[in-house]
Amino acid sequence: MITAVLFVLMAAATHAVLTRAEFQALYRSYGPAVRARCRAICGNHADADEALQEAFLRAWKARRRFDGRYPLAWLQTIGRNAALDVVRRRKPWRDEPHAWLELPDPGTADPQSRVDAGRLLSSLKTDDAVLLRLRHGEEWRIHEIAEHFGSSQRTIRRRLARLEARAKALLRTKEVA
Amino acid sequence: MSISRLDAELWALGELDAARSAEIERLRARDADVLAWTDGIRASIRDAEGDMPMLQLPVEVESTWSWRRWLAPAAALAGAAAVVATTVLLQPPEQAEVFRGAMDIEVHLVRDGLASERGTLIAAREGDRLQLRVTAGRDGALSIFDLQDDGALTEWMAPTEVRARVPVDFAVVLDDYAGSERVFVVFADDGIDRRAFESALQRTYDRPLADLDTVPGLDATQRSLLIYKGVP
Repeated sequence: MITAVLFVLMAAATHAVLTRAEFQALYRSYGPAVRARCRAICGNHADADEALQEAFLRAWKARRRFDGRYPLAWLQTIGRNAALDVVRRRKPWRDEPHAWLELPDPGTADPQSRVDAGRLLSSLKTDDAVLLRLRHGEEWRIHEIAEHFGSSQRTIRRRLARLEARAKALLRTKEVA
Repeated sequence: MSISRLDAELWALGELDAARSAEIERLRARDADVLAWTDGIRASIRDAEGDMPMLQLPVEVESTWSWRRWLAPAAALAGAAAVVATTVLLQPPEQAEVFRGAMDIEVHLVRDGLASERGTLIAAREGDRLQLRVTAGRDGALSIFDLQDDGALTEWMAPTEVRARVPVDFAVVLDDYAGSERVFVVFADDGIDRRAFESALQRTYDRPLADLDTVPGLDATQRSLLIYKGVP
C-alpha cells in the first residue's frame, strides 16, 4: 500500500516547482503581456491591474501543477479567467456602456445605429459581453478570440452572430416602445 | 498562414523561436495588415510594461517539493506512517476546523512566515496575517465584516459575486487593536452590504461579542471567527 502511494506521488511530482525568485522572474518577463490582455478584457487599467494581481496569485498557488512548458500560454489562460471574474464582479460598463464597447455616443450617433448598450450588456453573460468588446471594441480577429476563449472559430462566429442579432432586436424593441 | 496571438506576443517579447520569428518577419514584410496587427500587439505590451505594479505574493513557507527533495524523507515518513495513524486515532480532534454545508471556510493564520490552520477561536497578535478561503455551495454574493468589542464595525469585503464551488481567497494583516474582534463571513443571494449588516447589528448591541456567533435577522448564511489579542 505504501509503495503504491509513493509511486503515485512520485508520478505526480516529476517536475521542479517554481521558487519564489523564479516566479518573480516569470512575472517580470510575462506580466506585461498578461496585463495587456487584462486591459483588453476589462476595458480600464484599474480593473486590469486587479485581474493581473489575482492571476499571478492564482498561478503562484497552482505552480505545483505547472510543468515548466509554455509559461505564457499558462499565464494567459489564468489571466483570462481572472479578468473575466473581475468583469463579472465589477461590471465595468456600468457608468459608460457605450465607451466600454467603444460604440458611438448615443447622443451623436446616427439614430439607425443607436444601440442601448447598457441594456444590451446587462442582459448578457460576462463571457458574451467580453466577446463583444474584444471583437468590436478591441477589433480582435476571429481566430484570436477563438484562441483566447479556447473555442473554434466557427463557434465564435455563431456566438457573435447571435449577440449581434440580439443587439438589433433590442434596437427594434426600443423603436417600437 | 495565420499567426496566433500567443505567438505574436512571444514575438513581441523576443521569446519566439528563431524559425517562427523569421516567418512572422517575412509576413510582416509583405502584408501590411500583419504589420499593423503585430505592431499593435507589441505597442500594447510595451505600454503595459510601464509602471508595472509590484507583485504581492502571500507570505508562506516556500515550498520546494521537487521529487528529489521529497524522496529522501519519504522513506522515513512511510516507516512512521503506521505509528502516526495510530497516534492520530488516539488524539483529540485538532483545533483546525473546516465548515461544511452551504458555505465552507478554511482559516489560516500566518505568523513569521509560518501558516497554520485555525478554527473559530483564534489567538492572534499584531502583524499576524489572517487568510480565509471561502467556498459557497451556490452562486451568490459574499461579504466580510469585522466587529471590534468596542463596537467599531469595518467592512473588510464589500458584497462580491461568487460562483458555486469556486473558492474565494481573502487575507488581512491584523492591526494593533488590543481587544477581541469577531469576523463575520456573510453569504446571501443578493449580497449583504454594510448598511444592512449594521442595521441588523443594532438589534444586538447588548450581546457580548463572544456570544454573537451570527447576527440575527439577516437573510444570509453566516459564519464567524472570534479573534483575541494580547498573545505573546
